[in-house]
Amino acid sequence: MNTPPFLIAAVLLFWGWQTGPLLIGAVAGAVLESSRLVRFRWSLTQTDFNRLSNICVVLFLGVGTFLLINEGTVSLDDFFGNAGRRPEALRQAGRSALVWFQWFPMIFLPLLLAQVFNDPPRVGLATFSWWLRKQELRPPYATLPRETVDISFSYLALSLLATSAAAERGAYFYWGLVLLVGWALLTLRSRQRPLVVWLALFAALAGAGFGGHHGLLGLQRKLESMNVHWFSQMAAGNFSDSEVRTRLGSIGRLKNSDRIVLRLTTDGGVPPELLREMSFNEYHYRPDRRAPSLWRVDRREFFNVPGEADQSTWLLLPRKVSRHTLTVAGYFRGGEGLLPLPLGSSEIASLPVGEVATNLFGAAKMRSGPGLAIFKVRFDGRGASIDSGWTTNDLRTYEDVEPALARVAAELQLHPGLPPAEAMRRVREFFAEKFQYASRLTEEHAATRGESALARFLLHARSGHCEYFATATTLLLRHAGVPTRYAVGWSVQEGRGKNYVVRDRHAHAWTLVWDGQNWLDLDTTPSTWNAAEAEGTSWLQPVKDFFSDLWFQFSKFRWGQTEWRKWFMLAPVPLLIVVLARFFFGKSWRRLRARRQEEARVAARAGADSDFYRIEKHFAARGLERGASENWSEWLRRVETATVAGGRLKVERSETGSLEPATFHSSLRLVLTLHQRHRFDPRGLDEAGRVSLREEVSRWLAREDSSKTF
Amino acid sequence: MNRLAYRLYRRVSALNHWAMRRLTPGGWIVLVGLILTGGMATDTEQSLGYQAFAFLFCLCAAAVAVAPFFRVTFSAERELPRFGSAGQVLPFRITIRNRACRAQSGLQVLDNLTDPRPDFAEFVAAFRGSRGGKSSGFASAPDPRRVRGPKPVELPPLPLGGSASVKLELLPLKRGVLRFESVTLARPDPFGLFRAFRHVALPGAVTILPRRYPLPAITLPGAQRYQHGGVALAAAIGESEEFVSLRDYRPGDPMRRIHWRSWAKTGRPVVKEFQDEFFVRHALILDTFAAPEELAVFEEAVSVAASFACTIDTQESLLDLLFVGPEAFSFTIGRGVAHADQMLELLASVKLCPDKSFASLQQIVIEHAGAVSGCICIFLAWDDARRELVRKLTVLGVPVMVLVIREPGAMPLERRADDPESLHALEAGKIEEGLARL
Repeated sequence: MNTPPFLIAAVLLFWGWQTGPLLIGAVAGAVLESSRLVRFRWSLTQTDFNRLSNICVVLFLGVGTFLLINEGTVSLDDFFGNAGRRPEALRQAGRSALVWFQWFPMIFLPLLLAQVFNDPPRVGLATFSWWLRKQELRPPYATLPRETVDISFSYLALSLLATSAAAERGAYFYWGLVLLVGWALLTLRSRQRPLVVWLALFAALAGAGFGGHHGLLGLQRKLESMNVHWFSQMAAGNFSDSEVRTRLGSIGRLKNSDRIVLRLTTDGGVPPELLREMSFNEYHYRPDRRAPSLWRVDRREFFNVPGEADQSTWLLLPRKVSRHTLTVAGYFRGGEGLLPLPLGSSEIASLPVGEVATNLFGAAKMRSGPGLAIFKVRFDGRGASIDSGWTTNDLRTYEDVEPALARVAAELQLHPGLPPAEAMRRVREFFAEKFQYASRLTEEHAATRGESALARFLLHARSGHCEYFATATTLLLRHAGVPTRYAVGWSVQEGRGKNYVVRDRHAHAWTLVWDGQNWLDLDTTPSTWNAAEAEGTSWLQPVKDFFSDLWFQFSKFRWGQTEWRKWFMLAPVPLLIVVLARFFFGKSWRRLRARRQEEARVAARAGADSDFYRIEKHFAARGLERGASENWSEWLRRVETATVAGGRLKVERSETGSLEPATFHSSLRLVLTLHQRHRFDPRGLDEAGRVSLREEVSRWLAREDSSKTF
Repeated sequence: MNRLAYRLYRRVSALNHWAMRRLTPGGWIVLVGLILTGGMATDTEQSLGYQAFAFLFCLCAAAVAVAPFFRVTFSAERELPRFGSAGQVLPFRITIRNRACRAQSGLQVLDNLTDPRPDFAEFVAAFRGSRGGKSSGFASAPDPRRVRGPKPVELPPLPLGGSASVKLELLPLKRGVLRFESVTLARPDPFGLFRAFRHVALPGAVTILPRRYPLPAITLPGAQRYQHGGVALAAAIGESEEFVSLRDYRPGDPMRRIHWRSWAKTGRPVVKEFQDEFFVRHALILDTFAAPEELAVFEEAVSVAASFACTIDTQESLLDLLFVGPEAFSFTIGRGVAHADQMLELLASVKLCPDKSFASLQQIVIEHAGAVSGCICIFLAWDDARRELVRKLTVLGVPVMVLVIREPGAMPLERRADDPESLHALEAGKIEEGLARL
């Protein structure tokens, strides 16, 4: 190792401390540093290093595949989605990738161990490149001295990189990193300047780096505030079951991606317009623009739904008979989350999960399920739902914090005792006639000292996104004594026939209204919101959808209940076995194969240069080719017959005089015997036999040529 | 597509060349770390990579920022050998003289070759050649480098007005003329990551001779032949047949052969008697007729020719090298005419001749056939044209040894009854083994 003593051990300890496996890091560091004391050395060849490198690559890919399959869900189109979406996509994909990064030092440890305990302690450059491996086998390079490197500094850098993939935000990480990098650079420094100057310069850079990374943090926050993520904590199954932060009063452009979140298949009828994940009854006003108002529930309990015998059917309302069926497919991070359900859902089928629980606010939550759930919902918009009846909290108007609502309620003549249907009509008409949808939130929407964001919306801006409309509707109707709740979920608006998709930008908020017997959906957001949200659609959307569909198909396979998935997960195992087997037995296999090839080559070659083939060619040129299934004797008999029948017999006799046809072909039989000995006799034909064969063939052909001239 | 690949190759190789010279090994590690942590820094909430990125960025920025402040005036002198050999380390020295007004230390010396990259035709030919074999794709792409190194070397401290000398080494990978352009003095930044440069032009050249293989003791075919003009070839000027004895003058003897001193002593005319020269003269016939794709095989053929040129004892014999380049060449060494070095120098610059036919070589060989004792033919194929040449030589009574260089993994040579006994196939990549079996 060309690293300073104990530096590698220190780096591995640091890695273990920051990422978790402290003991493993300490042991690995101790073993590596022990190479300075222990005299034991291997004599590994380049082939050994190549095999070791192959094992590391298999481990590298295997760990990556394992983490990809077992960690959170990743959508391909998120990687290529818009910049605003990328951090969220990285949060999903990054979890796997960063865990993978963290294990790099252990994945590549065998290579460094092989180097430090090898004599000489260097690794051939070809270890890291298939191209160089090929080149080293080529004519000029096979004889050249091999290029080698010391990988200890690279390993050190890799370990530090893996450490920086740790998610735990500790105060010591940066200074530990600076210390270790400084230790390494100290050995590389130019001796031109005094150490003190070097240390001062390094300290200044460390300080600049400290300021720089704080600047990066600030920059990211600034960028995030420029693109307000509408329901940023939302994804399928990822709404919180206790509260939802609104963006009331925020400034910026609402931006959600085109990513497909849910895929729906109806039973042929019209799909439900809204799929709810959760509803809330308590409004928490907050004037801070960076931490806007919340909606919460006053009771957080969930109650398990008893599963049917097949553990995939869950009866939410056992007595209700529903007319419609909807199939919903969506990704669920970690196999748990809130299920998007239409109002009035009574039964969930084909959902093989560990547990389904519901709360008093119409939410159904699954746990211990697959990353992709495809389930059937029986529902009927009319009649009962799984929500509890109304409580006093469903009537709180929050006049103390939102006095503007009282003014508007008075304007609309919303007073207790008004029939719910009439109150709903007035509110719906009020918003439809006087308000517009806006996805760009300006200073006009921001709260001021005297007015809340909701007041600005109702009295001045008169435009906003669905959270404004839903919040205002929920609270206004309460002024009429109508119990209401704030609901969040998805709007279904894209699709044809039986198949529909719900995209990230279709996240929506609306109001649940108690009509005296049941809860009803009331959506007062102007219907133009669909078109406004679709305006920013990328022209690449069809391409992204294509990849999204591919990923969906793969996910179906990946999260399916078939045995295939198990086999897929085991796929790297045979590869690892093969690589390990090659590592241990490769040399003897290669020798065996070379011997067999040599034997085969000798067997194939034996007799291939026999002169007898010239005779075969001679007759073949005259239309007497040997058939594929014809042996030599049969073929010669046929040739003999054909020659005699063709009148050549007469010519031969007149030309050669004493030579009888039988004798003539007897000489060919002699040639054939020699040829067959040459071809098939394991001892082969001696030199005299070869000469005899050659001469006999030449003589025979000469006779044939001379006979042809007559 | 090829043009695009070539452009890509030129861009990538230029970038690689720049980075390999500018960045120290530590600099490479920091740069790769910077790129990877840059990827992590896109989300500051997911990992601590952004902290590492900020620090590494500061390090890199500082390393690059100090580079323009490197000022040094110097002169350089390079001591190059006349020849090098492909596949053998070529050492040489560079002496740097300090012309600056202060002493210098911590400097490195880099030597700069002229652009060694292949031109488009060579690039395409090399790639086609690599695809002609069994394997294809990137992994089997050829190495276009002509030379490995020279690596930067630490220069001892340079006193004011003083000089220091360093030994550099490079490994030529291919034969031909290697041209040097300039010498660079480099100073790494305080952290040893990035090099600042100062150049001085210093042209130079060295001829890289072909790779040679050891040859076993080969009995070359053929006997001594009368050499027309005697050793006129072998001596610098005029005729120089071997002196045998003195004898009495016979009418018709040329006047210039009269030995005047003997006439003076004996009183009767005496003439000098000479004997015509008979000695061994071999022809080394190098086949240059192949498609550009077969460049690797051709290189091996040149190496085999060079091996013969070095090994054949030219103290007592002559060796003619016959090949066709832009025109037909015949070059003779031995018995004081020229040395093997000169033939190797010629072989260092032999090129493929894809635009002419084999007949042009046949003509020059037949013209020489009368004078040579035997021929060593190094062929790139064994086809009818080459068979015909060998047959003609045999008919003329010239013994022939034929070596056919074949691609690795090529099918065994198809032999005919009338092929010469001394026909040998050598597989590229296993030439040494093949020659040992001769």
